[in-house]
Amino acid sequence: MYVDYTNLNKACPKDAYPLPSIVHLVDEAADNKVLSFLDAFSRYNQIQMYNKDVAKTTFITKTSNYCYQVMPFDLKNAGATYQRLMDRIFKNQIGRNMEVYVDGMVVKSDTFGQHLINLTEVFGRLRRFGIRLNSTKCVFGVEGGKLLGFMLTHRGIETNPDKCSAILDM
Amino acid sequence: MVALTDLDPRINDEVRIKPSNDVIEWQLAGEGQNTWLRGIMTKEEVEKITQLLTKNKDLFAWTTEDMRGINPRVMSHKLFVCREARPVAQKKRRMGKEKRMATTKEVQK
Repeated sequence: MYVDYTNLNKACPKDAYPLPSIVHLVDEAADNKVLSFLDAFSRYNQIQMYNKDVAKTTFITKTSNYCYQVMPFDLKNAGATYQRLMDRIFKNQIGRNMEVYVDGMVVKSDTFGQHLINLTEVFGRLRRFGIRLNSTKCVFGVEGGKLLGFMLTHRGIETNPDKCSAILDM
Repeated sequence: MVALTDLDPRINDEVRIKPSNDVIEWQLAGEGQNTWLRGIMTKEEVEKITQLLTKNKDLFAWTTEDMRGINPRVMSHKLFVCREARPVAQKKRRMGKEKRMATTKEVQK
């Protein structure tokens, strides 16, 4: 369900927290032999609203008024908050054995054996912070060289098939 | 005038790129609770990775009930509202009968 938060969003200045660029992620991950893609379940709803701000998300229905205790999907700065959380959770791993873009994670390794170790490390952090994954959107142990094609085909990025066939055929 | 099909050549094109066939679906937990593995792996690799995933299957959520949520002491979403902004009431949300009945049922859970 979506609530139109145009007014609320207008009253909030943009959170300038930087999101990584996709180009950087692809560059960083493409050199690795083994990759796993992890996707957080129902992404923003894993984060709670700050207690005093809950009332600001109120919406009115025929029978009652409701507000969000968890961060609704359509608040302007939701992506920045999520990235900040993920950067904090994985601060010792980002760049070393994984990359994070908002709710998407890429675990990267040079060997299969190392990949199992890296995944274990990531799982440990996820468990400690209570993040849950969406299994149907995760892929484990894929070949690094296929990263771009994989991003185009599995991650639901809509592309023009004519334009990317050159890349996919590489 | 520019036709829409010139801007997006896919418009009437039903063919979409399908996931490349080098991944296989693997059942992690109950029925329909699947995930994806690389298609070409040695028997030993498959065994090791599926073992690791099975051991960590509590990290996967299938319904919102499976979600623990982030401890607000770690992170919560704070709104920084401009000081001069005035409160605005949301417009009342109207729903069709069918939708209304479905939401009422969901709310009473």
